[in-house]
Amino acid sequence: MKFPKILSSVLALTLLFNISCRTESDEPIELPKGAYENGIFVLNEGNFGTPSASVTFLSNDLATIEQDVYKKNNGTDLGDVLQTLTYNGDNAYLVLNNSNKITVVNRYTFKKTGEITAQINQPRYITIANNFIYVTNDEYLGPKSVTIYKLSDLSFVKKIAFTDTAERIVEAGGTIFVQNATFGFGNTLTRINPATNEVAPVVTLPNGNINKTISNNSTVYTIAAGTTDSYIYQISAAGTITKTTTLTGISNATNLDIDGGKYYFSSGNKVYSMDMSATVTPTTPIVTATGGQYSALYGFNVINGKIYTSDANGFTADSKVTVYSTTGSVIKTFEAGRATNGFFQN
Amino acid sequence: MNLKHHFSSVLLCCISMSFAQEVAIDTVYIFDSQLKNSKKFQKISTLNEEDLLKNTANISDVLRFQSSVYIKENGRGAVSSPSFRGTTAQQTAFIWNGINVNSIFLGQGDINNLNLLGYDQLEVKSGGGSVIYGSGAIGGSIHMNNELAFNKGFNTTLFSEFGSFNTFNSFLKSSYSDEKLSVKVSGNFVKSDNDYDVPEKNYTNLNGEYDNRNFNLGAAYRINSKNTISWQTQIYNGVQHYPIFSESVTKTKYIADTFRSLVNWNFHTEKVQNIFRLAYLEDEFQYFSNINKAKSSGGSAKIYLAKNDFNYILNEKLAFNFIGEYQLNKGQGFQSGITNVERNAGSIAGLVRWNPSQKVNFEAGLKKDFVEAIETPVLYSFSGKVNVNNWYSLIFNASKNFRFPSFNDLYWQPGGNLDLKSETSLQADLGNRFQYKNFKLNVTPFYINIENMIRWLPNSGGIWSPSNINNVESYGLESQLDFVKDFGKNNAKFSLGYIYTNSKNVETNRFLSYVPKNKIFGNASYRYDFIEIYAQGMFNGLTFTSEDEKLGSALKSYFVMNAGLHIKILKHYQIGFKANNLFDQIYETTAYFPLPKRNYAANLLINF
Repeated sequence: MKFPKILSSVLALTLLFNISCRTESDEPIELPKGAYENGIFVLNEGNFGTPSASVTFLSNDLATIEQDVYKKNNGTDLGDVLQTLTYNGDNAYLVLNNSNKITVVNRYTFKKTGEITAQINQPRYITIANNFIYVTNDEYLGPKSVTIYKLSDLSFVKKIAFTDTAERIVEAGGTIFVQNATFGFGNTLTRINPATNEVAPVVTLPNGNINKTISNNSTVYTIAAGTTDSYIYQISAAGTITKTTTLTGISNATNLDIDGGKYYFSSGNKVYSMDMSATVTPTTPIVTATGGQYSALYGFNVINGKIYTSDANGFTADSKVTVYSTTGSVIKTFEAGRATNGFFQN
Repeated sequence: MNLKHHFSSVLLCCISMSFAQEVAIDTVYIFDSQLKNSKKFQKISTLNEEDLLKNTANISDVLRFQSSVYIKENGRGAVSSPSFRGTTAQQTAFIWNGINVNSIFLGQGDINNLNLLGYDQLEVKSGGGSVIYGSGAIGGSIHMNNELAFNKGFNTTLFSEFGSFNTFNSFLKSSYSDEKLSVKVSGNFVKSDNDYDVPEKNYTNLNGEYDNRNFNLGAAYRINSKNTISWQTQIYNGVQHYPIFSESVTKTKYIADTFRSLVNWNFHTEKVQNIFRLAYLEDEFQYFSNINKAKSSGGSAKIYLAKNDFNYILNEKLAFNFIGEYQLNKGQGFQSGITNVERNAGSIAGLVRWNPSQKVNFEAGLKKDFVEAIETPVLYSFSGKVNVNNWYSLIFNASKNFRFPSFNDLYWQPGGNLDLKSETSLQADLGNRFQYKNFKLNVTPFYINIENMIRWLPNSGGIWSPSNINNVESYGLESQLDFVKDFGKNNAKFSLGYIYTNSKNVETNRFLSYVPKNKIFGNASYRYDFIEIYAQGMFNGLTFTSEDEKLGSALKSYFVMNAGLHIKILKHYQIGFKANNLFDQIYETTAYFPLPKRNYAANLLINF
C-alpha cells in the first residue's frame, strides 16, 4: 500500500536531482520573489477621512494592471491617505497620513510584515539611511517633527521637534534633508546627520518658495517657485547650493523629477523638460494635460523614459492615469484608484 | 389618538375650502401657517409624535423609514444630509416653525445635529418652495414644528428609552393651556456610546459617541378675539464625535450650539389675517481636528429676521397674500478666514389664491429677493388642483427656485469666490391623488432642472474653491399608498411608498452620486385596544458613490426591517419594545460607514 508513496518520493527526488544537475553549469535560477517584482506601484491616496487609499500595480510593459493589491493580499483596507512610499531591502514602507501609521509590506508580495505607529502624528514623507527610518510628521495647527526608528525592529529611537513645516524628507550622500515648506510657503531645508541624529545647519534658498525636494545621485534637487520665475537648486550633501537653474518666465513650477540626465517639471497643467546642464528655459511644454486645473497633474513621476501623470478627477471619482513618452505622445491611459498621487518603480 | 388624527384632517379640509384659518388657530397653534396652504398642492408627509417615537435614534432614521427622502449618514448619529428628488443637501431647506434655519456658513443643515424629540411634528414637503421658504428650498423642505394648544388644561408627558450601544433617549414635556394662555416647556436628552460592530465589514464604530440636549419654551397669549401673541424658543447643544476607522487615527469631534427665538403676532379678522414675526437665530459650531486639543475651526452666525405675512381674503373664491421679509446675517469664523462678515437680505413675495369652484383651486406666486452683492432671480410658482370626481384629483405645480451662495462659498479663505451666482432651478410635477374607501394613493411624476450649481473643486494652486459649474437634470416619480381602517377596538394602518429618481449631471451625462434610483419604504401597524404592533421596511436600490458611476464603489441595494410593539399597562403608562434591523442587514448609506446590525430598544411613555 505504501509503495506508490515511496515511488512518488523517489520520483520527486530524481526530478530534483535532475533539475539541480541541469542548473549546475548555468547561473543559478532566480526564483520569482513575488507577483510585483517587475513593475510600478501606483499610489492612490484615497479620500481624506475614509480608508479608501489603495495601491495599483502596473507591469513594466504597461500591459497588466492590478487594482488594490494591498487589500487583495491582506484582506483589509490599507488606510486613510496614502502619502508616499520608500523601499529598503525586500520591504516597502507605506506612509498613511490620516491613519497615523507606516505600514511595512514585502515589496514583491505586498503582504504586510510590520507597522509603525509610535510617535507617528499625521506623517507626510519618509526616508531611510544608516539603518534608521526617518518620518516627517505635520499635524494641522499642531506639532511638527521628524521621528526616527530603527530599521531592524521598527522601534522608536528619537523625535526631533520642528517649529516650521516638516514636509518632504530625502537622503543624499549620507545626510538627511527635511523640506520646511509646504503649499508654496517656506524656503529652508533642515539637515540631519544620520550618524548622530542631530540637526545640522539649515540651508536657506535665496529665491522662491520650495514646492518639491528630491534626491538624485547623492545630490539634492529642489524646485522653488517665485511670482515670475522659478528655480531648480542643486544642493550638495554638505548643504551647499552648487548650482541654480533659473526657469525664466515660468511661475509656480511645482513637480520635479530627474530621468536620463534631464529635469522634468511642471507648471499648472504643463510639463517641461530640459537637460540638467542647460541654462535656457524651455518655452514649449512637452505635455499639456487636460482636466481640472489642479487635479489634472496630481501625480507626476518620470521613470525610465516615460512620464506618468494622473488626473485626480476632482477627487470625486477614480483617477485617470496617462503615460507619455518623453516627447509627449500618449503611450497608455488607464484608471487607478481614488486620488492617484505617485508612481514608484519596484 | 386616532380620533385626534381624523379631527385634524377634517379641520384641514375646512381650511382648504374656506381660508377660515381662525378655526385652526383656536385649537392648535402651528407657527407655520403657510404649510397648510401648501398641503393642497404639494405632497407633504406629516409625522407626529407617535410616528417619531417609532424611530427614536435620530431624525435620519425617521426620514429614512417614513419618508421619500434619501439620507446620507456617516455612521449612526454622525453627519447626515438629505436628498430630495435627486438634489443635494444644500438644496433642501430646514424650516423651524416657518423660518429657514439652514446654516449661513454651509447653506445646509445637518440632520443629526437636530434633536428629534425637540419637535412636536415633522413635515416633509417634496418639491420647490423658494417663493415661501426662500433660499435652498429646491428639492424639498423639512419642517420642524412646535405647536401650542388652547383649552387643553394641564398635560405632562415623559418618555424614556434605553437601547443598544448604551443609547439613552428621553423627553419631558409639560403644557398648560386655557382659553387665553398656552404654555409649553420641554426638555430632551439623547446620549449614545454608539460603539456598534459590523464584523462582516471588519468595522467598529470607533469614536462614534454623541450626546445632545434641547430645551424648548413656547407660549401663546390670546389678547382678544383678533390678536394672539406667541413665542417659541429653542436652545440646543450637541456633541458629536466623528467615527474613525482604526485606533491610530486621530479622534475628532464637533460641538454645535443653537439658540432660536421667534415671536409671532397674529392678527385676524374675517377678511384679514396678518402674521408679523421677529426672530433671532444663533448658531455656533466648533470643530476639533484633535479631540484633546483646542478647536481647529469654527464659526458663529447670528440672524436677525423680521417677516410679515399679510393675507387678504376678498371672498370665498379669492385671496391675496403678501410676504415681506428682511434679515441681517452676521458671521464670524474661526481659522476659516471669515472675519465678521455681514449680509443684508430681503424679499417681497405675492401670492394669489383663487378657488373658482369647490372643485378647482389655483395658486400663483411671485417673489424677488434682494441679497447684498448677489444677483438673484425672480422666482415664481404656479399650482392648480382639480377635483375631477370624488375619488380622483389632479394637481399641477411649476416653480422657479434658487439658492444663494453661503458664507463659506463666498468668504472662506483661501478659496472663497465672491463672483458666485445663485443656483436656480425650474421644476414641475403632476400629482394624481386617488381615494377609494380606506385607501389613498398619490402618484406624482416630477422634473427638475438645476443651473449654476455651486461646486467646490481644487483650483490651479490646489486650493479648493467653489464655482457655478454644474447643471443637473432630474426626473422621477414619487408615489405612496395609504390605508387606514378602524373596526371596533381594532385599528389598522398601512403605507407604502415608492420613489424613482433619475438624476444626471448634464455635462457628463452621469448619475449623481448618492441618489438611489429606487427607494421603497413601508410602514404597517395594527392596534387592538391596549396593544399595538408595527413594522417598518425600507428597500434602497443600488446607489453610486462616485461621479464615474463605478459599480465597484457603489452601495449595494439593501432591505432593512424594524418591528416593535407597545402596550398600555395602566391608564397613563405605556411600555414599548423595538428591534431595529431585524434581518441583520449589512448596509451603508455613505461609503465606508456601515450602519448597525440588529439592535434593540425598550421604552416607557407616561402621560399625566
